[in-house]
Amino acid sequence: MLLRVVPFKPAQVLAISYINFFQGTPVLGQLLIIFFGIPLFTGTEVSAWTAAIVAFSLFSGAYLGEIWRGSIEAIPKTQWEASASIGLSTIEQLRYVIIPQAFRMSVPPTVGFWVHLVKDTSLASIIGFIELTRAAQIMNAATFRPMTVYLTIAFVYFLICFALTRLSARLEKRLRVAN
Amino acid sequence: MSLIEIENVYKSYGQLEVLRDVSLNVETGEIIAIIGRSGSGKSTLLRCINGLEPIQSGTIRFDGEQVNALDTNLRQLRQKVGIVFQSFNLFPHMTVERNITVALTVVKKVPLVQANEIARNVITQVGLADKLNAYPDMLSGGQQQRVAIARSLAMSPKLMLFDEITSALDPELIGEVLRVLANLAKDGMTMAKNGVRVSALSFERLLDELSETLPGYLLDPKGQSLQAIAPVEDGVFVLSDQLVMPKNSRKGLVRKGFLPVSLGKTMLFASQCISVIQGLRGSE
Repeated sequence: MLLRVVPFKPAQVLAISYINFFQGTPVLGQLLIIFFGIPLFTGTEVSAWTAAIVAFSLFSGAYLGEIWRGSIEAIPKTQWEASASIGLSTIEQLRYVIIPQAFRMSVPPTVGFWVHLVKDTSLASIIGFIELTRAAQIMNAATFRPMTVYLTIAFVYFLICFALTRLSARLEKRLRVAN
Repeated sequence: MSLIEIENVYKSYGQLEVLRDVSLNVETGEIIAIIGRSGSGKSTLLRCINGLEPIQSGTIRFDGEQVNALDTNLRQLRQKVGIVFQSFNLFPHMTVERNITVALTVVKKVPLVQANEIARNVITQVGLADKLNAYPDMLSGGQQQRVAIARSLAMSPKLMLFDEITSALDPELIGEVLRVLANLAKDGMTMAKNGVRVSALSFERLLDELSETLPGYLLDPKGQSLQAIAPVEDGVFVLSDQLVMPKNSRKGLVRKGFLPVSLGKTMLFASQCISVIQGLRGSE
């Protein structure tokens, strides 16, 4: 996100290509590229755990960076002016006036993204990583009761996501922002 | 030395020339209204004085220090120059109290207890002592603007700039803000109030406002036409655009001109044409 806003062309180009790549391709593809691609080119084995962590981190970075940049840029110019006119430096403007408001603004899209991310983790089962969905497959294979197993798993996903959403709603209530 | 010395200032946004050869001196304690049509550069001039906008040439000195130099210490300047905006621009995520104290604690390094004390004083001055813990969105427009004035006051600036502070307010809320200003004016803080747009109607309203804000000055608010008021007394001039606008050049002059109305020294200049004002100043 910082790279995207610094006034230095190559940094911006780098940041924009990174963002475009990770936003423009499916996270499943990214998982596969990292899990199968890296060993192919470098010869080093990548564990499912590492591949999942790396892929989801890069993927989240591309999205969250843009969400947060958007939130900061969405704070009205008048807030910058008002805070400048009382003598705050740029860093102080960000710390006391801009970021607190941008944070509040970024809560709903950030949580929305997390909810997606939690569900997207099911994709990691493809590369053999034992997350919720993979665990369910294994359990189903052992018990032959797909409805029970998958409904339970769905409920676990729901619990995680619902908790996130509730948290977001509470945060939104507590923080205030310019409209 | 005047408090503000503006000399031959030029300012443009790209191709658009906004201020052209503007010169103006303001003494400590003087109250100046800058009046002009929409787009004539009133706000721009005020924003140049506290360094929010750069200028292309000329000099602006405040309290002897040049404002628009590269090495200007804007942080120091802005502790001495307060500005109140048309749209209030309070910080919505802070209480009224924090809105007022943030600059004190962060910029002036005043201990919080003392800053809260100052906040209580200034908020009482604007008549909102019971709103210290409210958030801006719980206040009316007039109340928000009074908080904004208090926020500015808390820094005890030498100069206050008011940029169209009543034009975003409903008519019935304007009075409360002006009353606050009138009280401040009595305390003798230098104010530059960016005034109402000049149309026949709003000019009259401005005269109303001024006479209400500054009792004792000899403006009769009751429907006097501009010509009828001028000249009222020794040293008082009112120049309306009808009186001073040179024919043929209306367009160019209107855009670049503005009207300072100085009441601090029983001088009242109203014009849309800067060169006329300079002419008058020269012949003082």
